[in-house]
Amino acid sequence: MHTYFDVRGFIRLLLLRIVSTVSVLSIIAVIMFSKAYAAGVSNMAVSLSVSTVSSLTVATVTFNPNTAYVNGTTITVSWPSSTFTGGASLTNTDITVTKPSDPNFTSATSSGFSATGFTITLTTGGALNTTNGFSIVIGGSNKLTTPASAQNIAVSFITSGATPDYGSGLAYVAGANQVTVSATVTSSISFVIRNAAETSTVSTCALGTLTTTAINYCQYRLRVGTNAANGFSVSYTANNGLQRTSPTYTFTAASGAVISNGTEAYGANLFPNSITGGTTTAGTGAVGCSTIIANCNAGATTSSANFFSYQSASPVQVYTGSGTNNPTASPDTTNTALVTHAATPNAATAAGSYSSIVTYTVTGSF
Amino acid sequence: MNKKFLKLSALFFLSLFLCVFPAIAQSNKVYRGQIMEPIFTILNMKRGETYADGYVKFYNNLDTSIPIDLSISVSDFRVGDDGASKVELTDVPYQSSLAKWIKLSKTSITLKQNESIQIGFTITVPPYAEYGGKYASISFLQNNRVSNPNNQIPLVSRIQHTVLVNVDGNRKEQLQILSFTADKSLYEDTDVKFLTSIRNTGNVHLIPKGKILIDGGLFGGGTELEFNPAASQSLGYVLPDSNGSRTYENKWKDDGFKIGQYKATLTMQFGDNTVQSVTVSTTFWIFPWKTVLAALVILISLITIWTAWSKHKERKVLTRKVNKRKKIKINDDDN
Repeated sequence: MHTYFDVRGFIRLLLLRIVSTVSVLSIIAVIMFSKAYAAGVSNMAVSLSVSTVSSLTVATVTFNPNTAYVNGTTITVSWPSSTFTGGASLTNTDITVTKPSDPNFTSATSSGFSATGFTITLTTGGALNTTNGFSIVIGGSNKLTTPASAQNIAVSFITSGATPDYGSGLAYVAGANQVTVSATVTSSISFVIRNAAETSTVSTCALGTLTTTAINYCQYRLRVGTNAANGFSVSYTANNGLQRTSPTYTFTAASGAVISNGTEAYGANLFPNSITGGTTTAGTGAVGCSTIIANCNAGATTSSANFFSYQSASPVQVYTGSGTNNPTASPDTTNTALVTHAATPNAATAAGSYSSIVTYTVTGSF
Repeated sequence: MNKKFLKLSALFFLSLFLCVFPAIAQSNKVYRGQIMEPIFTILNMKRGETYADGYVKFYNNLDTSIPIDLSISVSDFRVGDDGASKVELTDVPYQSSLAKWIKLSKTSITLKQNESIQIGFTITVPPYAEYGGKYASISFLQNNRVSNPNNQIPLVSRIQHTVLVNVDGNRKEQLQILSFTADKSLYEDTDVKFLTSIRNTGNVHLIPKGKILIDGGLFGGGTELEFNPAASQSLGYVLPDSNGSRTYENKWKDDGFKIGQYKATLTMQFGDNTVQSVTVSTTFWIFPWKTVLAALVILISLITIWTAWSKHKERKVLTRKVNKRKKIKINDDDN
């Protein structure tokens, strides 16, 4: 049996396969080998000498190369339009390129200045290493000008050659990268009436049972705290003197002199003490006290000095602080004012129960 | 037995720790009582305008579990003689009255321990309002009273929130320095207090600010003080009052040696529309007599010692000369 062999068809098929194989390989080769191995550099940073808006600034670009640059390699530096201005006015002398500790680095020449960048041509004595970083300082006698509004500006570069390096860093103008954490501390004032030892809160001052043989007294403290720069004032109001309501009888008001037992008198005084952020004063007039604390305390049972009339129906300023006050943990007997009430009857003082409501009004000074 | 003892001991110390530890924690607590914030509301408003965002927060931070009853009210005020304290003028006609334009969201509350509340308020300026500064206080008055206060003095507290409103228009900014003086004319050391009394004759509240420049003295070495430092925090107002005034205090303390006559010059600025400037000055003396006396004593002592030494030296030289002459004479006689 004669077998027919189609030589032409075989050759055509063979050629077709060869062509297609070569084509596929070529395509793969083109894909694999024609594309450069461009690499992003590490440690790229851009800093500005002045980062406020519309200001002349010197930009410094630093990076570590990924590949070994050879003599004649160019580095094209660029930034977007509508960011920096003054790029076209730069000259070679305005650009300083250094690569410290690389013995093969000789010099660099900058050219092709435009509004958005320029090109650096390297002169080297051999391939540069990849361990020492580049520093490109942009700005000498001519400088770039930052934009009129806050922006983050991407400054980029790409090198020449088959395997170019490239990189990009952000220059921050007017803190466009910053987040401002802000808070407002509101003004605040606090007040509490405490016992003389400043260990507990009180709402009364008990004079006890009065006799002609002694001066009875009671004490408490005014604790005012505030962050107001101008301090505070405390005023005092009494609904009446020390009074019995039915039938009405009012103790004789002290007059700022010594109270002696057996001579009817009711009065009070105030020792302002200290505050943490200023000075204190005691009011004069209806309430007052010597700055000598011994005179403010009703320590003596037979006589006590400096007790004043305490019967003002309208507010009377009795105590001020010129600045802030932040009393420490209780008890604080330094940054709190001490108030003393004292009374003694005479033989004719009507028997009965006596009282007087005292109101302290605390206000921040404006 | 030992195990039981150990267990009991551990239990005892644990109980002791649990009892003592809260006490320690409590003792370190900064106690504040009743707290109000903010202290001020300061606004510029127009005729017919309503401000609805006013608020005051109040906290019951008392160390007693008894709830506090608070009565909240608004009243007008005028400044006291010191220009900063307030005297209430409830229901009294007053050109700076503001209370009637303020509406509170609540007028009474009860607050348990550690509770707080925010009281809102609105300010409505009538279309016919007079221009200028208007002032009011919002008071938180504690109502708790002792029911049978025999021989006791019930103590009541009230904390005030201050509202300063300027109704814009026809603004008159006028501050007058009534006096600028040092509190003494002669000081022994550099502990000088300057008192500046200012009257507001305009119709709006104003913050004066500026510098006090001190110079002079035998050896120079003055300084500069900030006048009304609270101005940096938008405080230190002088309220309009054609009769009243506010007194500001500045202190100059310096440990260095100062002697002679000094001059303090206050340059004060004020005004929001137009910044106005006023300059006044005062003089005072610093004479550290103790230091000067000590220096004089030392100087006189040194001069005395020096004079005595010179005389002694002179006498010695004279004696030597006399002895020499005597010696020459003896020799001459011998010859």
